[in-house]
Amino acid sequence: MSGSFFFIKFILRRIAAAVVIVLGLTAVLFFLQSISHSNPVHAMLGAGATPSAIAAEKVKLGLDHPVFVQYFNYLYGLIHGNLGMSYRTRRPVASDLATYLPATLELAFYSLLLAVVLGLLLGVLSAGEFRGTGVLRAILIAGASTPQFLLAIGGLLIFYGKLNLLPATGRIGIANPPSGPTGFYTIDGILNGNFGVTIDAFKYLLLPSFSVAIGPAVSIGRVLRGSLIEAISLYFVKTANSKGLSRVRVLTVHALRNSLGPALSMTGLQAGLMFAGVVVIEDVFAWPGIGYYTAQSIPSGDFPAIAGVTLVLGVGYVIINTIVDLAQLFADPRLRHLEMANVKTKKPLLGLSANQG
Amino acid sequence: MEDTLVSPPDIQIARGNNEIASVVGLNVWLRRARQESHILKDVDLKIGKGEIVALVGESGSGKSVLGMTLLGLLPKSSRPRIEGEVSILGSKITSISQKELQGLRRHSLSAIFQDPMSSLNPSMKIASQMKEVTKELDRALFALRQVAIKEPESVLGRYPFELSGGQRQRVMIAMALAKEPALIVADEPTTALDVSVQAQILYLIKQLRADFGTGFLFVTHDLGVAAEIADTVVVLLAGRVLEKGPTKEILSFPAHPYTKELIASRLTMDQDQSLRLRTNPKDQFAGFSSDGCPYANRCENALDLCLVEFPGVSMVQDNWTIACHNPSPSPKAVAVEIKTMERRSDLDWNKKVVLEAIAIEKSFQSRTSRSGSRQVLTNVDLTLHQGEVVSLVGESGSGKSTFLRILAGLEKESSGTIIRHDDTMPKMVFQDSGSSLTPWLSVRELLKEALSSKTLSKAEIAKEVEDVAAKVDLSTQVLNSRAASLSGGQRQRVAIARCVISPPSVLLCDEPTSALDASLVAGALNLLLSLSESLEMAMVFVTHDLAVARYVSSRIMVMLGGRVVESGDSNEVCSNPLHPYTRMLLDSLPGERRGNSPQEALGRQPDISGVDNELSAVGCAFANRCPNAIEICRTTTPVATYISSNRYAACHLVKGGTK
Ligand SMILES: Nc1ncnc2c1ncn2[C@@H]1O[C@H](COP(=O)(O)OP(=O)(O)OP(=O)(O)O)[C@@H](O)[C@H]1O
Ligand code: SF4
Ligand code: SF4
Ligand SMILES: [Mg+2]
Repeated sequence: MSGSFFFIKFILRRIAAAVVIVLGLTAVLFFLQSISHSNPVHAMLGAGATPSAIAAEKVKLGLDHPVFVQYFNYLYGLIHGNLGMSYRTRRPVASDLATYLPATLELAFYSLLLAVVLGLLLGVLSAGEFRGTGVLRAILIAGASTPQFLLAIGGLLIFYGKLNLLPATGRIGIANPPSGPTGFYTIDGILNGNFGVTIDAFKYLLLPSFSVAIGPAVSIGRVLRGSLIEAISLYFVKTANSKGLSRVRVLTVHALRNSLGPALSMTGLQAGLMFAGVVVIEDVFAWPGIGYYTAQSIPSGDFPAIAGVTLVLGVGYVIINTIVDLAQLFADPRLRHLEMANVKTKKPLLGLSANQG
Repeated sequence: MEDTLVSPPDIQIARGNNEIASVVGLNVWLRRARQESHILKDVDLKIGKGEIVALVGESGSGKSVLGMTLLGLLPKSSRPRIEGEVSILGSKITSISQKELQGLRRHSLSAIFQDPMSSLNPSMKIASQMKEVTKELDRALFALRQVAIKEPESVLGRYPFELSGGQRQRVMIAMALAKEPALIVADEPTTALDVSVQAQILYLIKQLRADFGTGFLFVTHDLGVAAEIADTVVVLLAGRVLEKGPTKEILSFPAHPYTKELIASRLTMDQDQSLRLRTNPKDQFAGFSSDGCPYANRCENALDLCLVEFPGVSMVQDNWTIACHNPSPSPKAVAVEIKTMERRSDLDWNKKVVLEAIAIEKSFQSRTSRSGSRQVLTNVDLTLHQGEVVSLVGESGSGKSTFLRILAGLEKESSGTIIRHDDTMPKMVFQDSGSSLTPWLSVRELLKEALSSKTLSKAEIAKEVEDVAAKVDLSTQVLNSRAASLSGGQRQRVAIARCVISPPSVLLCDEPTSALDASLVAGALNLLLSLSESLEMAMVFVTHDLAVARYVSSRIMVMLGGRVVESGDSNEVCSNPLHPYTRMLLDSLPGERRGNSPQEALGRQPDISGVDNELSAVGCAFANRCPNAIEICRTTTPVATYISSNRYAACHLVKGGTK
């Protein structure tokens, strides 16, 4: 049977998973909202609002209906791409998200990239017992055992306060940065031929992404080191050695590819957790992302905003895991073989079933 | 008896300045769990051009460590410390740089490891793995053809998991060969393979050294294999070379007491079935004495001196040396042979039937083919009498273990009937039963646990445990030790004791000895047979070793592709096989010469073209490989033809009646 058929089934299954997650998450959110005492309308209209104004506003927002009906209204809007209006900003949540999301995505992307690169380095170097690995390990592990916000503040004190090498807060120091097409300043700078923007954006990214990445890097590195060491004792690695290949080639071409599975799973897990880290770090660095947006939405009980953010994170999580699983399939031909066979018999194997969270 | 073991080496090797590897005064220490141990002690060794040197010895004797030392591949994590000299093609590998060593491996050294399933990179196509040894496609194809790979182009495009075990090992050999190395270190290259595939691979290796003059260090624990292939044998025990010399002489007239024991404990086709197997009368588990001769604790000839001083090397003949203080045979060393076993022919067919399997079929849902299921057993019958021992033999994948699991009730038959004329369920001893004992429990606790289904008082339980311990010869000291601290042989005994503490009427054994050292196999077989006799327990014995099958059982059933293709009295099956497949299995036994003419002895050429041992889908499953196949074989599946009431074969060429 063809690989593309397998691929389509796989993606369909993941979309189904995303739908289930969205339904579940929104249901939970509505339930929480209904039992909470926050009164967004009060917050919106200010302390002096008359009861009749409040009631009128409630009707306008649809808050006079029972929770059940509100939920269905919300889902109905969702199908039409409508995430509702933010109580606080009084703009559609969708356009708020479009404003804040790119900043978060850019930070998360570089943090993940950094985590993966550092993790690979740590894993390969320490498994290969190369010289100088100890120092790298010590630094990374010390970093990983420090709480993220301390790391961030420490970084600020040294690189901004003492050395004045890096900027403290915000996302960019240049006025009127390009506003598209990707929303990533580092990339838009290049696309618009304005390399100054790219360089400046990297300066702003450096501290926050390091603060987010070090923990996940160590987790990924440890898992990788474990499976590499296991792989090194396997015969096919001995075979590779007996061919007279260089140590680096043996480690990367032979051992690494067969050890990627656990490290990839760990990366998926860490990517999910990383959003939590990003939210905290955005606060420290006043990074204008959805963490920042959420932090402002919570005190004002801005339910549609919170729900929108949650949905984006949930769907993002499914997407990341799908990518990780595809990468795993790519890395291991045996798995590909088995999975393709299993799609036919409708028996999901390993972690690749639809409800994997 | 030793005569059957020895074959003349196929080519005469010119020794002398053709030396490709030399090891002088080699000592190796390795570190594990912060403790350094002295693994190889004063090893001397030379390998000439085109010479095959067999390294034999029991598990843990240091064979693999020596092989890895020659490759310069001792694991870094064990912080190897090496003293002495190892030269390959004149370069001292202990003192050259990492780069030079890699260069040496790239051009002149190769390795083949035991497990064909794990020695190829699972996520790389064969082509890419081949490319790492030779960039030229022609050369890769040539090497693959050399090892009788039928369609090398298509094999290159596959992943290892898409090849059979035999194919993988041949690919491995092709890879080792492609650079035309001076030396190949082969560490048990055939141990994981069926005898038929093993015979092909051994033949291949002999050819290659003749064609290319490649030298081999061939690690094996099987003297039959050594006899088949080696010019020189080196006997290793606890890191010491005890005897070294020409294969033929050593295996015919072993000079060292340990070599004598190794040869004597080998089970051959000539083993008298009415005799117990010879075992070392001294404690098998005595361990090694550290300063003196490592064999001293087990040696019948041992002197006081042996315990404290390792003997110097003395010459027996040219190129033949031993290290022993007192090599002359002592009268005591003669086999202790007890005549107790029943003659096979006396087997009583009138004894009561304990287990019947009628027309058993089994198919598994297939994972990879859409067409659904795969038939693994077809119409298998078995009638088992009280106290009878039946062996199932056949290549891997022939359905032996599945049938056994169905008999044990661990698997459900797809159709057919199992009748147990008894309330007790059969019990099962596995190949690695010994290693699956809960390590932190004491043997006593393990045995009690096996009893727990019964309702007995504490005292009764204690007594049962003592009784069974006495039966399987476990001392009180062993009873109180934890499973983790036992030797391999002791563990296997405990596993057997667990099965017989409440004796079943049928004991099912799946390769119970194939994980044991030769010196322990005899003990385990003696134990199983005496239990079967004293408890009147019937046994079904799955083994790939026909010599073992012939010795332990009264009846042999030969399986191929899920069918029984031949069945009969074990002596008759072995001495006068009816089915061409049985004949091939017998011919494949290493170190067993069936034909007597020199022509046959030399030119026995296993059929390595045999379509990679694939079974034919229609007609006789053996048709692809059968030298006698006729037209009807490819279209019609032969049915069992009886030549007497208990003897049948399923082959179109066998004449006789139906039942
Ligand atoms: N990496 C290692 N570190 C420390 N000790 C080791 C290491 N590898 C092997 N040993 C020890 O060295 C001794 C010899 O082991 P080796 O693997 O060479 O035996 P072997 O003769 O090949 O046995 P087998 O027939 O079971 O393969 C054993 O006592 C083993 O425990
Ligand atoms: S006689 Fe002594 S030296 Fe010779 S094998 Fe026996 S114990 Fe070892
Ligand atoms: S039936 Fe034919 S192919 Fe099968 S073993 Fe007999 S002769 Fe050979
Ligand atoms: Mg070994």
